[in-house]
Amino acid sequence: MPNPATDNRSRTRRPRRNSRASGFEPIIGMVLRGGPPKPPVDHFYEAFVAGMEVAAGPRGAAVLTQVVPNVDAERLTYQRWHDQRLVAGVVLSDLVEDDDRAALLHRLGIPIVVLGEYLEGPQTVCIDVDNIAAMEQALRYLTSLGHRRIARVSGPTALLHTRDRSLAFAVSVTALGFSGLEVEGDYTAESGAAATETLLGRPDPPTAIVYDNDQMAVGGLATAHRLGIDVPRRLSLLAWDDTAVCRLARPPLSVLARDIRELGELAVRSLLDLLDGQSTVARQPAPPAVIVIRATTGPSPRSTSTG
Amino acid sequence: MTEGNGGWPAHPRAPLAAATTRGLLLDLIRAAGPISRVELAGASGLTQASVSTIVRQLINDGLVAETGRGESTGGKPRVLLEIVPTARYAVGIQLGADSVSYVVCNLAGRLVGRLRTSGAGTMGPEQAVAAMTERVTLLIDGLGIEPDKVVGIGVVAPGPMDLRSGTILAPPTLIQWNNFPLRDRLADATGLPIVLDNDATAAAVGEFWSGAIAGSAAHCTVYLGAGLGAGIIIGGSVYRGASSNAGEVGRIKVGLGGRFKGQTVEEQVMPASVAAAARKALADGRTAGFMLSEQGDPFEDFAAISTAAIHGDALAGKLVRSSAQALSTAVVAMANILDLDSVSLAGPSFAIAGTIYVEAVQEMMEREFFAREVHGVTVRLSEHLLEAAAVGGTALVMQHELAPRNLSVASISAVRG
Repeated sequence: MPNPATDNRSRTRRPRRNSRASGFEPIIGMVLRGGPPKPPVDHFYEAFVAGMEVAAGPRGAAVLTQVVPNVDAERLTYQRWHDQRLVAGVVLSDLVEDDDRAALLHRLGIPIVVLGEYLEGPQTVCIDVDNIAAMEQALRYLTSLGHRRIARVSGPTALLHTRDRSLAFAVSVTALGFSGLEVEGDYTAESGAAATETLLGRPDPPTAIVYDNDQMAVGGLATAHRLGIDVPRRLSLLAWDDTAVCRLARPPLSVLARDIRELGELAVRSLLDLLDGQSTVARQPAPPAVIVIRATTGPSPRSTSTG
Repeated sequence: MTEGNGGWPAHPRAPLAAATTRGLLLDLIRAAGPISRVELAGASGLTQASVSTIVRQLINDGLVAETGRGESTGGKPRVLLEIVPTARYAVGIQLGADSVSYVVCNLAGRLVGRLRTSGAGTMGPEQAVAAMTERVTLLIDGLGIEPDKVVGIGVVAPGPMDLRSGTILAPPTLIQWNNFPLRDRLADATGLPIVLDNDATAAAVGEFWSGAIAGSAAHCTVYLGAGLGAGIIIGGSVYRGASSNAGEVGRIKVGLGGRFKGQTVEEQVMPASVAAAARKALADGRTAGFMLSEQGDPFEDFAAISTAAIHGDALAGKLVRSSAQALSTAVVAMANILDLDSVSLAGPSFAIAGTIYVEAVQEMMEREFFAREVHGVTVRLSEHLLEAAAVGGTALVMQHELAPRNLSVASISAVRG
């Protein structure tokens, strides 16, 4: 992006919009990371933003989203929104270790709502998503079906919520008494397919696989089909987040479901409460996940053959 | 009648598609790139000399760039061409009573940003044009896009409309807009070319442009917002009928008895009807796993019912399936008339429980489609459900600039001609 101070040629000269703050509804901004290798439409964020919009409308606010290729572009967007005095607040998600985005937003004086993790700071409210409890719930369900070799295809390990789930996975191996194995994916169906192929090629293949999102599970299901492995009789698959692709998969995928729209609504309501001075709550618990059993999870093959 | 330049103010920038061959090549590069000049000549039927000349112009204008080299076929490796996605942008506005969505897509057709605000239902049209103009400026600024890279705005609304005069005709949910010259007023206010079209048609064009339905000989995008409509694409061309008001599948009356007697398909399918049926069921003492809004907002209620339905609530499931059943009847009728091979469901009302509708249509298609022994009909959810029509609006206005593929845009030729 050209710097307006040094580059006068790029923008047409137009009067600065001073009335913006008074003439418009408050705008809640969110920057989404798009482009390869992510799919063109991320169903999680599609539903999340839809929820944001549902909550914003009745409170007289509007929602602005921008898709950017990388974190540098994301930082530039926050800087621009600050310079233009455009947004009343920003939704921040997918935190990584040493994430400097929240600090940048604090410095710019932009209030934030953080999705997922707890983060202290001025004008900050967090939507606390308990990934640990959710992962434990998923693994308790699979072990209750008799599975003792359980694999997980994770999202990118740089993400803090991936680490929370990894931690819960490691703890559950001991607590629930199964052998666990993790492979990292990048949230695409292709990575889910490749990871599944690797796992199933092992001498001791897992009898159940849990995926960190919907697309990777769809890829995994396709791989199982291609290898002629009966789902769920020989292999159980559990997806994370109940999106349309899970329900339309054949057979439809069992999922660990969170109400994603509700998360979006909660984020916007919490941020608007913060802006209105109505709330000093820094931490809002997200609604818990539920397991929706469809057709890709069943008893472990070992427990049925020996039982 | 505003003919000639009325709706098409002189644009400060030279048009992208001075000649259709230029538009054709640009679109081929967009859809099939990275692609070599030789492959372009093969795909377009143009001579290699013409291809080279036009490609040079496209590169000079910054729309296309050379990107490395492809496989050598014996001689020197071929230079591959690719679109420059950030070279141009288009705005799409989806006009609804309950909300107005603004989206921006780049030259590659990818969504780069969106803004959703409360609806136009309470505003008069003049006021709404002012609000839209301000928000388009806000969105373009907010996305950090240089204003002179914006080719125009595609405005989509539920029909009926008169595309020759650029007016919306008495839409049931936007009654004040009757006969308002929306296209010209918005063009005057923004200084940008405006393409006006029906939401369902736009959604279909958007899908075609994205390549999602490539290879389909006869496609229909069924659009469910507050009401029901359909956009039809036959052999790569939009089917527009006599006045671009085709595809009104919702107006079909199916002779069902009982509580649907005399109702149109739209009246049986639309969110407000599902919400009303739910309200009645609750009043009759039925138990349900959802709560209806106090104000009786049909969209909020429909969202609650849809959510409960996908989570397995019995009453909600029954209500949504009843709506899906009525939709299936109409879609299968349409498939039989047009011998469709592809159907997409798009629009905000499919956002939550769209999968139930897809399954219902698939099932009835497998059972009742006339040509089922000859070929199947692919039934899918559109990639952009909520913003499908707005994204389609960007495709329409890009098309006006790029003249892509095979799509004929009757509204534009009518206005320009």
